[in-house]
Amino acid sequence: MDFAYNVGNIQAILTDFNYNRVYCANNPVMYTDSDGDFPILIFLIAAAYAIWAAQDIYDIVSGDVYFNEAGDGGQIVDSYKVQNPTVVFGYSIYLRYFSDSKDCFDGSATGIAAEWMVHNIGYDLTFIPSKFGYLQNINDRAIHTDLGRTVFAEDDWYVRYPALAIQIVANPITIIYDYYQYIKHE
Amino acid sequence: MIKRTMLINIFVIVVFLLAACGKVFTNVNDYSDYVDSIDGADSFMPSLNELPEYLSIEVYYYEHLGQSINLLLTFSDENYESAKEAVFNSIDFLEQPLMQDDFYLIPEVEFEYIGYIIKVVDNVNFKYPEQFGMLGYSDEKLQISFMFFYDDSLNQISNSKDRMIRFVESEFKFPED
Repeated sequence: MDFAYNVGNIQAILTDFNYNRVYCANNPVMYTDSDGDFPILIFLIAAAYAIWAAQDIYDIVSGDVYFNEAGDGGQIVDSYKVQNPTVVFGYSIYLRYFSDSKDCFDGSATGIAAEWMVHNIGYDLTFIPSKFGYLQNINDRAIHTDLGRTVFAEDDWYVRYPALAIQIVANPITIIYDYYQYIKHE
Repeated sequence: MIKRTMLINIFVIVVFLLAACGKVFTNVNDYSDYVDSIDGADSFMPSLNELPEYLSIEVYYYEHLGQSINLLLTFSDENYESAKEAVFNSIDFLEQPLMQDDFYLIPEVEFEYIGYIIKVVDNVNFKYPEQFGMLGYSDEKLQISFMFFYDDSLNQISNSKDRMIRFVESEFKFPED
């Protein structure tokens, strides 16, 4: 079957009848998007990402995931439930600059998000092995995210350095800011 | 972006693998230094001059993801039962597992590990499971074991059946038979 011929035919028919254009004549199984101007794959990925973000926002709004103050920093309880990077960064910005707990921190929101993402990576990597009795000790530590006043105040080096690596990629300037805040308050 | 994400993941895995390598210190003369270096351990671990009369003493200070100390005392046949009674009668133990939301903080309060019966100590100053003490004994080896653990990052000791055994196995050091 000549797909290009079919698409051309259908589009011509639709134009003739002055209909709005539809993707592959509403039959993408039989026909192709030969000129590629309808990026359905991108659309599907974006929709899935938005649903994922909505689910994570719901977890925060419903109180499933919440922040416990501890004076110097605190703990994001059940942080492993929120993994969408946009929501992680968004909630980190809220925590650092707009929430009632903003005074628990000196560092940047990027630092908070980076520590959170390290915990999530640790949780994800060890989830299946932990079901078979391996790496349970790391999985046990990655459920909640413990935050210091800055990323440099993080006690565990195996969280601090990966978090800094994420910060380098996300926003390197915040490392300078976080370090300045760290030495200022130490 | 995908390449950078992959690199970060690889870096994190390498860091976690490095973190999984622990360091063991066994010098009895440094016992008090070990105790001082573990947050809250001095509230539970005994000082060496207040111990019942023992035959031999071993200490295992282990720095892993967290910190732990295990003080092992070996007694003579004559002294073992009285020492065990004196030590165990002076300490309260948890009677029920501790839970928080869906997770076990302490899934078992008494369990057996390589011939030691180990009980989790009940103390209002402890923060389970980040910081707590345990007491063990072995009637066969005539030994009593004082154990203390601290790791501020530990959130739970999950609820599989033999979880406390796995916890002690990964976080404490004992003499190798």
